[in-house]
Amino acid sequence: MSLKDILSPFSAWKNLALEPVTVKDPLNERPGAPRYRGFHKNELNECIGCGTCSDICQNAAIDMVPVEGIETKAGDSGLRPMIDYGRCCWCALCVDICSTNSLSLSNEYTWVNSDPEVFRFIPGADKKSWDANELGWKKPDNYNLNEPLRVKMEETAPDEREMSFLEVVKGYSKEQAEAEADRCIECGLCTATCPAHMDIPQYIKTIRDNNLEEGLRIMYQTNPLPEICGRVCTRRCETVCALGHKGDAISIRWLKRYIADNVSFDEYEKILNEGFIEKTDKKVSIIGAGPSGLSLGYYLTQRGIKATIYEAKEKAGGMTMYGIPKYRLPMEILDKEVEFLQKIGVEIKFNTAVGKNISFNDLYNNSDAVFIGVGFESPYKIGIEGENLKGSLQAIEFLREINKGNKIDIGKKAVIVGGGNVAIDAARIAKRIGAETTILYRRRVEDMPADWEEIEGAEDEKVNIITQAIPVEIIPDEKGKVKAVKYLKAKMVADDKGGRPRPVPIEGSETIIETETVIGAIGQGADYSFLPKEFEEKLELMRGRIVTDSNMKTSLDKVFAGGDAVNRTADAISAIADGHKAAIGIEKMLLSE
Amino acid sequence: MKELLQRLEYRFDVSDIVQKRENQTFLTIDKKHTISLITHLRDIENFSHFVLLTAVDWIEDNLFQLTYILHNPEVNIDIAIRTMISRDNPEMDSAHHLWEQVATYQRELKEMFGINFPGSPGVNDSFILEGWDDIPPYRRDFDTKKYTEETYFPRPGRQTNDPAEYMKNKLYPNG
Amino acid sequence: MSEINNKNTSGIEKDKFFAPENEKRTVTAPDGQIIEIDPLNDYFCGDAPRVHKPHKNKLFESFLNWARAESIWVLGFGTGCGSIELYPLLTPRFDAYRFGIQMAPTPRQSSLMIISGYLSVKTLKRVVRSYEQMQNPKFVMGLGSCTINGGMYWDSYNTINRLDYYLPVDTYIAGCMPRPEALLAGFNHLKKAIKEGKGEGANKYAENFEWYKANQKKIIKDWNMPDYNW
Repeated sequence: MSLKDILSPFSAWKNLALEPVTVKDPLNERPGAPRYRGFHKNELNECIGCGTCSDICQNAAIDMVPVEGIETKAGDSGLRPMIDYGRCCWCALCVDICSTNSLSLSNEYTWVNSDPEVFRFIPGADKKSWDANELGWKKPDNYNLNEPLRVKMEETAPDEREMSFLEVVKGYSKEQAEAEADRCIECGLCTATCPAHMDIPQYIKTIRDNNLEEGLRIMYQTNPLPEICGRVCTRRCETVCALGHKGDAISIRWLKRYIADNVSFDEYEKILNEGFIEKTDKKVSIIGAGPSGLSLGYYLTQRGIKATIYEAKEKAGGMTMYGIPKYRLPMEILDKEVEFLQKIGVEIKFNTAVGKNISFNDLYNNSDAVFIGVGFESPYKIGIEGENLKGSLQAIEFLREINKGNKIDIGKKAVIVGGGNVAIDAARIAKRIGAETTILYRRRVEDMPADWEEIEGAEDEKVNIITQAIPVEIIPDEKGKVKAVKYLKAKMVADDKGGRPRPVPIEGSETIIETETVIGAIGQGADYSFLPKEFEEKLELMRGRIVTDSNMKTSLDKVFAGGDAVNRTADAISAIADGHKAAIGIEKMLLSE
Repeated sequence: MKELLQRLEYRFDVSDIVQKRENQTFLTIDKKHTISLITHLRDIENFSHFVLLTAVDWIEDNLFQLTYILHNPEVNIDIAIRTMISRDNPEMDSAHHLWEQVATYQRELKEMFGINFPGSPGVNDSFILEGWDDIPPYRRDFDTKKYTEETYFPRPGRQTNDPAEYMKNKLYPNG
Repeated sequence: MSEINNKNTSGIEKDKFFAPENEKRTVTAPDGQIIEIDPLNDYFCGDAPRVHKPHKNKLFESFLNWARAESIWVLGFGTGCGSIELYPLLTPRFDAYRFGIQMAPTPRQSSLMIISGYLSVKTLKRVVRSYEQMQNPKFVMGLGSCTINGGMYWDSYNTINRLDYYLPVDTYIAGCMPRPEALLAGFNHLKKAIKEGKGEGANKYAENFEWYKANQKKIIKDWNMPDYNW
């Protein structure tokens, strides 16, 4: 045995001076890494309860449960995720897919208990020690499980469309529609917000499955005018879309249009025939062939009730026919839908104004129910001096004449007063017929009630928009024609009552803008003069609108109402929903007799 | 690879030749000739390594697909041989005499798919499912979730809501 | 192999799962003596487990509990993926030995059974046999989601969802898998429970023996083993 052999064991002594590798207090000295995927956290106020986390979870670990203090409202289901740690495997798919980024993981990782029932909790609502942990897993930026941006809709170039009435929006191709439909997470938050409660996720799914006929059938269950809505719907659904929180909302309207455009019109009858019941001897008269009247006509026919629509003008469609420019809604589309309704048995009597060509009493006595869907046809006046001058128009009348194909001379310059869709439509039409166009609006651009796409379109077409401008006078020239508009600049003052900010004119800020035409577009009201006295007196109104119950029944016996004349939102989809509700109400009333 | 396939086509009635990778080819042959093709590949074409044997359940066609993958280490080529057998009373000739480990694969297939390989050693012994008395679990008509819920009773007290339906009940129950 | 005896042994029905090694048989010893063997009766205890009441002297009992808590011998039996988290505890970095935790090679020398994750029915059978061979007092620790409610194997045809249906569990640790540190926290929790006299899993098992056995037998369909192993 050599000396080395004897001494070598002692060489281990050199480690005596080294720091030990042992962690002294492993429980406290070793927190999770900054991006460790530990226990869940949830910002309850940001969460909208879309349930995507629950759907994506491969382990069925997430339940959607109601939480005290969180209300169900538009865009928020009121449900919140409850995590079962007897299932969770901390893959963080729920965090990565979360539509609002409210869900995250802390880097806390220790949870011990003797009771197996405790490992189930609602992050955010049940207070936990890791709620305040800053570190942990959050969805990394620029990393998305689903495409955040919508498929861009192709449009006619602004300079090309300035002088034409061709449809601006071209519609999705099959690939585009499928890509867009693929983005839908099927949470269904939109369904509650849609006035007609269309089953949006289901018909979007049919695009993915390339089963458009089924899609059409689903749409017609709640909306018999999808081609119109596919173009001009105010799509409140898109404002609550869960995807809108992180990126763009699904283009629900364009997808609806894609289905309606891509099912051959000849097949409509075959596809939609199912569910029609046998005809009964019941008759219902409908006043006005606007969206509400047409919708009611369809659903009554479906229920075997004979519907007759009395329309004062020569074409059906109401505001959608006469109030919406052709570049947004080509007339053929409307005619096609109306033709289909006539085909299935809805009778439409054109050029028959109730109160003029036929009396309301006749209708009332000869039918089992009467529906008033007359809409708002009388424009409000701006209420300033000079409104009766030559060259001062009302937008509704202007649009109506243009849509009829009549020519209106508005000169080289036009000023539109208002900020709604009607104002923008009038402005874009004025631009198309060759006038330099300016919009005067009391509030800011972001306060405009018009669709942002319409506003953008107008800006693209070089429509001049002056905001925070309150017109005070229309100045005439020596011939009594419009020469200029005087307006005051306004400042925005926060509303004490919590409403939107009010414009308050700034003294001495008078500005004069020269123009040849002024078009007022600040809203419309109803005209109930067709009603006989005894009915008009009994009809209950509130701020010019007819009061109805949930089935659209008015204070008059067997008289129903719907559309702009009833609901405050005044858009096509609400009118269609009214028609559907009235159909249910009328059916109930007639069957219970 | 090309010559090899030509030789095989000349000798055997192979079809559906699909080259999946540069060095991997799938081909299909009928049940009768499968074992002789495998034997030929092993003894004549030097496919000395047996990679795996697995099955696919084509329930719509009432067929099981067996896939044998062989490897030739000299030229680094894989050949996968597919053969279709009927789902009714599924049975296949055993290949355990060519490689010992095939018996283990066959035992597994017997247990998981119920495909019988008569003569294969221990093919009837249970493998990981001791005492299994349902239909074989890898068959597609076996409902795993239903079986699990009935057999392993998940912890009670969980209840979930569909957001759209919940909103309907809350906001517009009659609409 | 001799023919299977027609008589039932230890109440076990002769069926298709009957294991040949459990048959009654005669064996000739090297000295020529012929011995009759009934494995299920001769090798194992047929009696049900008994409840062991705590010592009357509370002070003494708490001393015993202290000793039990500070020398936890873990059965070296990794049942699922989580056992990989157990081994780092034995390395110098964590050095679980300083906390009184060490591994034991056989069930009869260990006091803690760690079910480390998913538990397939085949493994459950071995776990039950091992657990029953452990001496009182004995504890069970459930590691990870799988032992609580099935975890990511919740819809598997071959893994259990709820461990507490088959064995009395003293401590659950959430995680998939829990880190070694979480495991140490679990040990601390268990130690505290034992010191407080709450580590009564073995007695719970004895008290509800019929219920546990019924649950076990419901899923272990080839019950070709003795009803109780000790």
